[in-house]
Amino acid sequence: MSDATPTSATASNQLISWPIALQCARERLRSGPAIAFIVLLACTGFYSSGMRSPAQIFGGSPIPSIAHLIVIGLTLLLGSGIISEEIESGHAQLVLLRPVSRAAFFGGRLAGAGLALFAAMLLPWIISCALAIAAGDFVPAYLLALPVAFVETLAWLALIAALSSVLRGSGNSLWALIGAFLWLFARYGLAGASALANQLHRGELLQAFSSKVQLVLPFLRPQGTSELVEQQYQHAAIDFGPLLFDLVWIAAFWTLGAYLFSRRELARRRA
Amino acid sequence: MSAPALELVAVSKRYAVGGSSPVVAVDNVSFQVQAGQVVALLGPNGAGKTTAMQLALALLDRDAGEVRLFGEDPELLEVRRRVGFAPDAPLFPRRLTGLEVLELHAALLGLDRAQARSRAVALLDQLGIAEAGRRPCSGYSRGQGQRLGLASALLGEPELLLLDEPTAGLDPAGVAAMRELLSGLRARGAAVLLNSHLLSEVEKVCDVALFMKDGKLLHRHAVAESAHRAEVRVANLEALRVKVSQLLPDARMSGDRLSVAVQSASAMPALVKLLDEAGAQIIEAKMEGAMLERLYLEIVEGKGALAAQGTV
Repeated sequence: MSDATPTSATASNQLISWPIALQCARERLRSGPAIAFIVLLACTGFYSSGMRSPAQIFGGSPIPSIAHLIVIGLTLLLGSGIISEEIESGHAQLVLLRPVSRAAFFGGRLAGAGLALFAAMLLPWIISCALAIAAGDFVPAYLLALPVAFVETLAWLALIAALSSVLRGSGNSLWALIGAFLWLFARYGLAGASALANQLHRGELLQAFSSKVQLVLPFLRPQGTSELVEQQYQHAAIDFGPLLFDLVWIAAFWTLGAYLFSRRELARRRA
Repeated sequence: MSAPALELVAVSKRYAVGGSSPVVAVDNVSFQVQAGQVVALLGPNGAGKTTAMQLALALLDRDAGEVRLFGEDPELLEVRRRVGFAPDAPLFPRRLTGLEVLELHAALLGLDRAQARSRAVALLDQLGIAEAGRRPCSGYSRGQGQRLGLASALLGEPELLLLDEPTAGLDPAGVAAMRELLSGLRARGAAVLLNSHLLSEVEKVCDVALFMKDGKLLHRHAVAESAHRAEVRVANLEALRVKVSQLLPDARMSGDRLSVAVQSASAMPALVKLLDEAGAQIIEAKMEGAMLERLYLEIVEGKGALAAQGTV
């Protein structure tokens, strides 16, 4: 047998191609702006002595912490063109000639960007934990901070990857950003306009519309799970609802993204 | 007998071009590539060569016909493991090195880490890009990208290799290395389908040449047969025509040129001696080598005689 004879089968029905994931993580972590974001993020770990609770390593509601904003920026950066770049360069077609399914390709790219994000988030978390241990105020909630924050980040990444299956170039991150601003406008701008109209005894229709929109809006984004860390820190009852919502969100956009990628690839073949 | 490595049966493909009527890229094309055979697709730009290759790999959906790889559906993942493809001007992730790209493709083929690395290093070395292989792909020249694409195609020691313009962008040393590589592939029983404009190279390495134009397969030419003809220029050939016909019944004569089928180049001295004894004033004697070029020009310029007889 030749030394190049494949020895292990590549499963055709797997959700993630790990060679693709590792390649994607490596490639994404080498971009200059990503490195700059990661260094900044690591630096925020040293700020942990000023935190009220471990939930603030990546969260810090109501006002997002610096780390939170950097993680958002890094997510947009690492997810930018994650699928479309491969399709447009033609490398996706070369990869799909190997024994790997389209779903495993999509899963591999998403998991790779996720791995890169996780590695970036690991640094401030380790620094925070180390400082807490050194100061003697380490609590189990610190352990929860990273995985919980990562679930929320992965949820955003799944959405961005799904968008990349249908949009060209880096359009996915741009539209995710536009979507986030529209959400913020609907959440706060519309509510403000509605309140103003109410004060002026006008705009019943606007108020009715706004109240309906406010009911739906919270479910149009990942829930944000830093509360879970806060609850653990406060020894309060833990509400797993937001975490479950975000896990379902990840599964939904992962599936949708893989489906859209498959459709785009089949459409290209038919063209 | 085992199934051909590649078989296209009456395959057609049309491209929709916005607004106007569809362009027929491949029209009712049928051919086979057997194990141990090197087959070349020849034709002008836009003849449908690349499309035919992409149809063979199911990179494009066909409108009609059948494609089989090793007698199986080309979509089967297990079949893909046995096939290598080097596209024209391949693009790789810009921030990965050539070595990392090859390791990725080797891992996708199921090679373990150590095997993947050693195979990738060996191929980079064999194709003359060992040093470039350690740099990110963003800095590669076209020729280096081409060689990396070829290395990627060769990773799994494929039984069927499809090469789209493999010599485009290569320097003369690269072209010679490619020739050697193709001979090696044939020797180990691999089937190769390539398309190229370098007719002289095709003539040296290919067993069969398929001529395409406007999406149609016009002519199938067995290269190996034409490579064993001797061409002799004789000043007084017209006067010797009858005598030569008696001595060499299969000889073809045109002007002062005489073309004779021979076993090999070693038969040339005996042929020259025979003609000399018959009174021929020999100007030049050589092995015929530029058959493909003549055929190509004839077919591309549409002189028709070959197209009329050419069923593949």
